[in-house]
Amino acid sequence: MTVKHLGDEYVFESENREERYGGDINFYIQWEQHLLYACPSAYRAPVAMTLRDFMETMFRPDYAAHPDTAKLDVDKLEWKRDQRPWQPDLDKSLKDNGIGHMDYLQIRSPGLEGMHGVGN
Amino acid sequence: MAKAKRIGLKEKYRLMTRGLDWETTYQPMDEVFPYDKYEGIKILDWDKWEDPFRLTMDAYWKYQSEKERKLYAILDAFEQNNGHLNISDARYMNAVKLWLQAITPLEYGAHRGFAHVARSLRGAGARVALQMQSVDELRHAQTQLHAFSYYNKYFNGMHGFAHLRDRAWYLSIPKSFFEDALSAGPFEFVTAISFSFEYVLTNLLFMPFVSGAAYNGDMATTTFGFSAQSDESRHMTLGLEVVKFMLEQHEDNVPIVQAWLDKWFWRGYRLLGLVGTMMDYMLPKKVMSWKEAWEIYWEENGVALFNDLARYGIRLPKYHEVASKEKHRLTHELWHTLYQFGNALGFHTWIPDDKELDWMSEKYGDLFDTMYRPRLLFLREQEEAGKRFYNNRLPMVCQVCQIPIFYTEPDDPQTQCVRIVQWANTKHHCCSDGCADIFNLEPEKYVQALIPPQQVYRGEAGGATNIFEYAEWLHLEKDVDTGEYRGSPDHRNWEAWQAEQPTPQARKTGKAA
Repeated sequence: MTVKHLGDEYVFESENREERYGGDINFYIQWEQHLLYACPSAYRAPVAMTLRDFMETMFRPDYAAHPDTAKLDVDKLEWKRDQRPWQPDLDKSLKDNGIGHMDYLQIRSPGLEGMHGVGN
Repeated sequence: MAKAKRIGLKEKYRLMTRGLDWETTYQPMDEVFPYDKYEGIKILDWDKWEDPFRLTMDAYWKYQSEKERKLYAILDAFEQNNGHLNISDARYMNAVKLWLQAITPLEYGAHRGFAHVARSLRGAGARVALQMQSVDELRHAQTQLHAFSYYNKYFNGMHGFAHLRDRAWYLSIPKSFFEDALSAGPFEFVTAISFSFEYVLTNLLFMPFVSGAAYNGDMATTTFGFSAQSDESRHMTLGLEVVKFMLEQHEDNVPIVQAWLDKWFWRGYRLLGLVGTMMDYMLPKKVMSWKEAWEIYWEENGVALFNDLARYGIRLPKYHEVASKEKHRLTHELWHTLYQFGNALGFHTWIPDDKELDWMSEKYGDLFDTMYRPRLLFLREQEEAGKRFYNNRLPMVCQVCQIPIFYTEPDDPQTQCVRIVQWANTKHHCCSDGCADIFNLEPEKYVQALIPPQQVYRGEAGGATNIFEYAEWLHLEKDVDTGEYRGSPDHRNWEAWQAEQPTPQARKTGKAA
C-alpha cells in the first residue's frame, strides 16, 4: 500500500538511514528472560569493533544492575539475529559477523534465566 | 406594531449554518477545496449533515463566556486558599506534570487540526461545527495552562512544557500521534480525533483523570475538567455524526472508514497507556484500576457502539482483543519503563508503598503477584541499599507509536514483542502487529519519523551522547526535575509544608517515605 496524496509523488528517504552514521551503525540487542531491562537497548558502534568488545565494554556495564550480569559468560550465549537463530564469532568484527544497520540481536543465557522464576 | 416572532432553535440553526456558502465561478470548486476528495471519501449531499446540538455561533459565545467566568473565579479562590496544600500528596503532582507535558499540547494541536479541517470541507454545516470545536480546543489548552501555572510556583518540572514537547522522548508519543492525524486528509483527521479519540476513547482520558483530580484534592484540574466536559460531549456527538455521515453517503466509504478505525483505535489505545499508568501508579488515592476502566469504557461501552455501527458494515477494530489481553500488564510494564528511564523524565517516579501494592494485588491478581510485585520489591530493596535502579542506555522505539518497545507478546508476558518491518532496504521496528500493520499501509509516511534515541545517536540532539546530556538538552535538572521522587526537592518541600500545617486539618499523605 502507498500513501494517498496530492501532487505528483510522495517519496521520502528513511530518516534513520545508514549514511547518517558516519561509518558506524545503529543496532539493537535484547537479553531474553531479563525483563528488569524493559526494552531492547539501542547502540551506535563502529563496525570494526569486535562483538566480544561490544559485549564486554558496552553491553555488560549497561546491564550491571542485574544480579545475573556478573555471572554472564559471553561465550555461552544462544544468539538470534532479526529473530532467527544465528551463530556469531565473538572475536570477529561486527561487520565480519554480518551485523548491519538496524539489526536486532537477541541473546539467551542458559542457566541465567532472570529473577523470580518469571524472567525478571 | 406587531411584535417580531421569535424564531425557533431549529430555524435559527438552519439560518445560521446553511446558505452561507456559494458555488465559486472564478475558480473551480475543486481548486478552492483541494483536500476533501483525495482520500476517496464520496459525499453526495452535504446538506444531509446534521449537528445534533444545533449550536450556533451566537449561543456558543454566550455559553463559553459564562463557563470562563466561573472557571477563573474558582481558580482565583483555589489560589488564595493555598490550594496546593490540599492535594492528597505531592506525588499526585506528577500526574499533573504528565498532563501538562503530554496532553495540553494535544489540545492545541486539535485546535490547529480542526481549523484546517473546517477550512477544507465544502459543506457549510460541517464547517460551522468544526470551527466551534477548533475554538473549544484552543480554550482547553489555555484553561489548562492557566490552571496548572499556579502549581508551577511550587513544584518542579513544569517550567518548559513547550520546549519539552518538541524534544522529549516520551512526549514524542503524544506529539507523533497528533502529527500523524494533522498530516492526514481532513476526513481521516476527523475520524481519528473526533471519533476514535473523542468518542471511543476520551472517557478513558477524562473520567479517570478528572475524577482522580477531584479525589486527590486538586480543585484546579477538576474545575477545568468540568468546564471542558460539556464541550467534550459535543465533540463526541460530532465524532459519531461524522462517521455516520460518511457511512451513509456512499458504500464505497465503508472500507476506507474501517481502515481508519482500525488504525486510530490502535494508536489511541497505545497513547492511553500513559493515562492508565497515571491511574494505577501516580494517583496516591486511586479511583479505579486501568483494567476496570478498560472493561467499562471499552469492553462494554466501546464494543456496544461498534455493534451499533454493524448495520453500516463496520466491524470491531483490529487487535481489540490484544488490547484486552494486555489490560492485566500494560500499566505495570509502562511504569517499570518510566521508572528506569527516569533520568530523562520531566516528572518523578517511585516504587509504590505496601498499601498500594496490596491494592494492585487485589485488582490484578496472579500475574501481578508472580511477576510485577517481586520486581517492584527487588527495586525497592535496591533503592534502600543506595542503588536506585536506572537504565541509562537508550531503548529501541516503535516506528509508529514511538513508545519504547517494552510490550510483551499478547499470549506471553515473559517474552518481549518486537516486529520488524522493512521499506526501501531499511529495517524498522514496531511494538505490535497493530503498529506494524499501520506502518505497512503507509510506509513512506512512517519512515520519516524522528525517533529520539536515533536522533541522539546521529548527533542531532544538541550533541548529547548519553542520557544525562540529553536531559540537559531537554532543560531538565538532574534529580530536581528528573529521577526518584523520594528525597527530591518536591518531596522535601511537601514534608516541610505539611509540618507547618495546623494539626486539626492534618491529612493522611499516603506516606511517601
